[in-house]
Amino acid sequence: MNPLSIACVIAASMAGLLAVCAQTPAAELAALNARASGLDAEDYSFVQPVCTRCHTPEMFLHARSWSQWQGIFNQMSGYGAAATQEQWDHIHHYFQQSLTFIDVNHADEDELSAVLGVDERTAIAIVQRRTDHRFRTAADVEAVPGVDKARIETIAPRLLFDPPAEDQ
Amino acid sequence: MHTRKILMTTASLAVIAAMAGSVSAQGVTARKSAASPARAAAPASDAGVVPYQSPPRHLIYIATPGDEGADDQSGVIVLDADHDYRFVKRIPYGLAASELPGPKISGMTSSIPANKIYVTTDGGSMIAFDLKTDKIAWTFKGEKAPVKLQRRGSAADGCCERPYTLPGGNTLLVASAYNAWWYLIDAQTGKELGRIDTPQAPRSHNLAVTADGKTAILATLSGPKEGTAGVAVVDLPNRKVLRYINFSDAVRPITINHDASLVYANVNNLDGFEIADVKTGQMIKRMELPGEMWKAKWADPNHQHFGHGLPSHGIGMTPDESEIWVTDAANDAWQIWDNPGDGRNPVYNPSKTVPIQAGIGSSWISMTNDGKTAFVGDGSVIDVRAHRVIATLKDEYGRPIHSVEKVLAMTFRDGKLVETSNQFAIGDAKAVEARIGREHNRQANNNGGG
Repeated sequence: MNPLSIACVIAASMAGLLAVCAQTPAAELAALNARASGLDAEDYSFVQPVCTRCHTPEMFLHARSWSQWQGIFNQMSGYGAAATQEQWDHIHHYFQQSLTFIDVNHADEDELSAVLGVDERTAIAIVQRRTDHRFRTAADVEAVPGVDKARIETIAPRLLFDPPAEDQ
Repeated sequence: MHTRKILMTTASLAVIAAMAGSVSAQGVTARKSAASPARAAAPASDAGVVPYQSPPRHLIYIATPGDEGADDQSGVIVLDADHDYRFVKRIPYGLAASELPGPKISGMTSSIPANKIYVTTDGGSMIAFDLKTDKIAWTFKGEKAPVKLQRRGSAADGCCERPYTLPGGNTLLVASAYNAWWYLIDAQTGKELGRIDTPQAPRSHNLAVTADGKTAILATLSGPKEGTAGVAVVDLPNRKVLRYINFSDAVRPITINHDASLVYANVNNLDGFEIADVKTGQMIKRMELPGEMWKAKWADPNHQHFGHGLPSHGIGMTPDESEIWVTDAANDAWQIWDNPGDGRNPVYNPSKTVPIQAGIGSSWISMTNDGKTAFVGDGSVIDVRAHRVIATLKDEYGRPIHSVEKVLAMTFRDGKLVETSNQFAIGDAKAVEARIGREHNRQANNNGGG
């Protein structure tokens, strides 16, 4: 038996143990699904079959930047996550709308549209505004004509203004 | 060491296997609790399943040194467009220290199937770089016997000025160094496939090609004062000049609309551009900025900042052809001309003017394929729709790169080139069609709304 075969046998044994340990109590799982669904029930109906096959929603209920999410989707795809194009579209929408940080002073127009939920014209206006005066607060963003104030208040914790250089 | 490797492999496989194991454990619960199971079919079968595309990586390649002085730069500078254009690396030309910065770069293009970029130099060569290794793949040199030099500083082998990758990515159309011929080069091997002669446009320099590869507009760096035409209109499949077009003065940068029915050209001694009808071969219109904006400055010998020796050296159009962008050295700005209808009647729109760095020539414009971002000669990055400078390109030392005339915006997936811009900003048929559709819809909505 070669070293790789030995490793596989041991791994299979360990995997069984880990899988058992990884079981999440039903009540806790239901609560997590409810929390995830509460962000956007329709999109989550597409997200759930793809993104909770290997782990609970707890793994992704944390905001990240869009480029980080793209990297994670790619990584998960490498682990076997598979979806139809419709599902990928909803997955993108779900994460952009509900779980993505946005650097308001640097994001491009497409990302501004997707995360802030604004149309193309408003995204362009945001770029114009920030090149003249950088955004400092959520209120600055709300002041741009076309921006939905309620939406901004909802996502305010995910708005970044001049983050540290390493996050940009 | 051997045992350690086994243990590490074991641990890694265990984690992966555990994840796989919990797929079924989680899968049942997940499917049961799906809010709309009928709509959100689990990808249990392969039907309709598509692989997740790895995230695109958007990189900017700038070939230096450029025009207007060496700018202390050499090599191809690569910047990350996904992260505020931060420095990624510099690809050297393999020159000895005593040879740096090397000859001026006269042009740049790329090929997706060959996974290469190409830079042409005043030093008499065209160099191909493999994008996987960043190493020189081949070098093309022009003529074996010395050619007649048509311009100071050009190479005796007649190679090379601006290159253009023809549709399909397998053939490069490359201007000789201000001579009366153009090379066709195999993008993979660098072998010469043929040439196109343009005797009445004898100083090959700039060019543009339609997306279908049928028509090329080949511009000479000469004009009526030299007794030549301005551009040659070429039937590319047959490698045949169809006609020549004259302009009022020597032709400098050009752009074309999507089907090359119109050529827009900067010419010497003009802050603006001229338009030619390709079918008739006639120059049909001269568009000048208001005279008070530039004529006194142009006449003032102490006004130093006219890049390339003329008021406007730099022109491009948005892919949807709704705007023509023209550099204005007299006012350190890019001036925008609205371009409605059939493109024959541009209108200067001062409300869209984009000011740029004062005193630094901004003598070229390239745009991303989606027309959202422009890179201009002084190193400014412009949001095209917002008409605002959003970044300044800088090298690894934080120094602004001041000569950005040979630049490509390229997209990679898994290390492979999948999309590339060219050095120019020309019309695109699909973008034009989309714009016309939007305008029709807007008009219909307005009519419907009473």
